[in-house]
Amino acid sequence: MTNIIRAGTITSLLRSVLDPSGQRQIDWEAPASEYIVGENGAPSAFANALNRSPQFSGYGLSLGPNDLADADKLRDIVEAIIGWFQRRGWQVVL
Amino acid sequence: MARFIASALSLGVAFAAVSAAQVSAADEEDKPFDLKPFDGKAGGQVDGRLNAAEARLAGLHKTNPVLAKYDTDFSGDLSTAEFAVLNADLKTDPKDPGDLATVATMVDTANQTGGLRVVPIEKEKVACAASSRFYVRKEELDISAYTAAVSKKEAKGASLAVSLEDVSDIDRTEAHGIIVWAHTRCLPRPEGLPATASYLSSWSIAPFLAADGVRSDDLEEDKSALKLGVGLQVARSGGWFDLQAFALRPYLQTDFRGKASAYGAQASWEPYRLDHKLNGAHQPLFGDVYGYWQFRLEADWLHVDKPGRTDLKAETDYAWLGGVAGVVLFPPMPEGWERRLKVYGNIKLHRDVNNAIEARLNFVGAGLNLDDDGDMALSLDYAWGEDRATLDRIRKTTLSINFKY
Repeated sequence: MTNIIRAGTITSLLRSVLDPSGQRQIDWEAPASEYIVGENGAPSAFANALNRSPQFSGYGLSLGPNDLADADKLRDIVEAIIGWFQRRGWQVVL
Repeated sequence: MARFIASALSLGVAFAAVSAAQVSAADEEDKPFDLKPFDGKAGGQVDGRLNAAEARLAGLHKTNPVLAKYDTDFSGDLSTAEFAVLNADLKTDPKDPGDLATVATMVDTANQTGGLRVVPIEKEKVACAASSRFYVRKEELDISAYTAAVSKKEAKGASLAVSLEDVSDIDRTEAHGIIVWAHTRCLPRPEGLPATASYLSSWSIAPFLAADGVRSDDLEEDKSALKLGVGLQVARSGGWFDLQAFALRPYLQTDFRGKASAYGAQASWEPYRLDHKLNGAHQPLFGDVYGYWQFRLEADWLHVDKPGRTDLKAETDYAWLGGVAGVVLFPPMPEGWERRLKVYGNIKLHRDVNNAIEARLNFVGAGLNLDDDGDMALSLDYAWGEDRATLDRIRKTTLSINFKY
């Protein structure tokens, strides 16, 4: 059987990671640094923060800092997560 | 990929809006699961009971809400026609089946017109590439080896001020900053490594030149440290910490007049755990206010031959142990200025275990990025205490425009 996940599901899950309240407007074209703040290692640390999150841990998400090395915008992070699913044989559909 | 992502993002917004109202299998669990429709399916006989194949089919439907709704011929997977019904429902009534981990085998027609569009795999995963570039920042530890492109927006910039006083005839140059050439390599995650396991995720080699202090004709304030060294950094991702950064920086030290002579090495450990707001955060504290607390441990060994324009002692070894702790807050800002203003306070506390000296340097301040890229920043700092690099006692307010590269 082929595992299927909707791309919209991925964005919904990431949205809830960044904003558990669901109240904020998330701009996917905005720089990731507007939502991930910290010392210089924070963007890389976010990979493991995603892996441990309740939203993605159930899928066994195992991103590394290299997966987010070129993630300037939030949409780049979505793309990185989609890539992870695809590399593990998931079909990502719209 | 970009077009699909744009569609996915808009769908994601729609899903978030309807998520509270979505119908899921969980809502149906209050009703007893009806096994009768499965009697006689999967090649079995209608005999009032389920054989193994019929029971397996019932199990699939019970645990798989998409199958339960759309596998109307009870085949155990979705035919082209059943798949089209699913697609039509998703377009007109977007209930998100995202809590579903597995769907029955999708036929190849899924990516044809009218079916669900499959996001194509546009590129194979590329192994981490090495990168080399110059950085200009305020402090050695403001440089990170962890990412290929270190963000300037939250980094502190270097500053240089020169004043030529005609009346008192006291010329003064003050500099605080570091120039680094960093060669960085990030490492891919080993295949098969459990998601929670840690691994070496990057390393870097970074020669640097750091300047901190004042060169002045007024000898009272003529205190400075000029360091030339090499930074060696590695980072581990995973485990209890999201990331740990380890650095070792051997260096040679003099002053702005070239009078001092010293050498030493500095080691540091900087951990990250974003959900605990340790050295970073991915969720606001409340509303649109972000913040995190800083923490870093440091060890700094220094041998001084000649103190020059510092208050260090000649022929003395210093062995500083300590670290940095502080808080950084990002107040809410108007649209387009998000996260460009930050206020901070931190304490740098170190103890020289050789000479029983304590150096404590306190900072409070605010910094405002003047542009989107973070190339220029305005900062207002108040610092008081003792600088361990020069053992100079400081109490000063500084307003400066800083530049970053």
